[in-house]
Amino acid sequence: MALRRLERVFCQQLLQSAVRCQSVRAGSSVAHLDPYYKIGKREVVGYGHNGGFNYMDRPDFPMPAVRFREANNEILNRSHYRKTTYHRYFTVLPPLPASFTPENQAIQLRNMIELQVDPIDGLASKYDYEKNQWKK
Amino acid sequence: MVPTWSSFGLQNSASPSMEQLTFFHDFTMVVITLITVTVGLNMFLICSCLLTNRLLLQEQVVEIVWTVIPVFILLSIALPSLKALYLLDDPFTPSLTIKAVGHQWYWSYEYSDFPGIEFDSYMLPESDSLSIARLLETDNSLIVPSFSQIRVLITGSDVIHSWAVPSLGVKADAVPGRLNQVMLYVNRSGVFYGQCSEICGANHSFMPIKLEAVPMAYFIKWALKSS
Repeated sequence: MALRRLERVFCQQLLQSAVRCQSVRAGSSVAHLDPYYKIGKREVVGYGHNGGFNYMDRPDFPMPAVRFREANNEILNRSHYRKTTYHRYFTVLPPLPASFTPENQAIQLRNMIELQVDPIDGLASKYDYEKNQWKK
Repeated sequence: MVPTWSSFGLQNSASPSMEQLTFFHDFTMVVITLITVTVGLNMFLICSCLLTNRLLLQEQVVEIVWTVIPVFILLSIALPSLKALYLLDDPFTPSLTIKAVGHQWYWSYEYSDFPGIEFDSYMLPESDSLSIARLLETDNSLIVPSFSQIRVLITGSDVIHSWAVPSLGVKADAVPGRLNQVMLYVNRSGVFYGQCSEICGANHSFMPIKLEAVPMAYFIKWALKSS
């Protein structure tokens, strides 16, 4: 019991010192425990690439610490990164090629059977060419 | 051969060298799976065990065992590997020589043994036909006789490309100013696909290789008709 209490206190102190460390790296001397902390008009929304509260376009760290746009109603309603990623996925990426449709895949499968693709232990090995049907 | 949907392993081999590579791959995969499971299990048991031996300093026998056993494991991997390596390098007298030249972004083939047979091989765009294999079909395919020793001399004309056909176990860089030689022996008739395997610019993914292996009689008929 006493050990658990000590463990909890220790974890809390560790968290606080981690946040303090982050704010020191960001050049501030205040411990930021406020989830809605802002730099000017920009909200701090994550760790970023090095823990500093700055905005940087880096492909290897796609989620900067500070939001690009000022906080307004539209941004706050879409404040979840997951929602933004979902929205981006369905609006930015191109549509799948026509070869992904089931009809086209069926035609391709017929072609692959006729070409005897992988006749040893793959696709064609599972097709009975004498009876013209899949092996049972 | 074409990779099928959700395929995970190697394509079925169409040449003796690819058969050897497949055997070696399957054998080595068993060995490394056993090693991974053993090491993973050990790590899990160590992490989950709540007891510790405070007085443990060293154990010579264990150290010797876990040095000697990997030596034997590595030897058992090295011997088939060297066997496959020397089999792949087997020099034989080819009955046909083909030159494959990589360009940005297509392949061109020349049959020096038959006068006048040279052509370019461009990828067919998707819009041409929906039933073709996307990004793999070409307008002209490389026709070769099956059950024959074939030498392919590969080079590049502008930047480095790589001529690869996975089901034949063949891959060689097409380097400008250099001729790389690969030996082919296709032991079944069929259509075999490959793709450029060295980054060569914007359309690197759109310069495939399509090889058709046909019986010798058909090949001679085609060669005489084309030359």
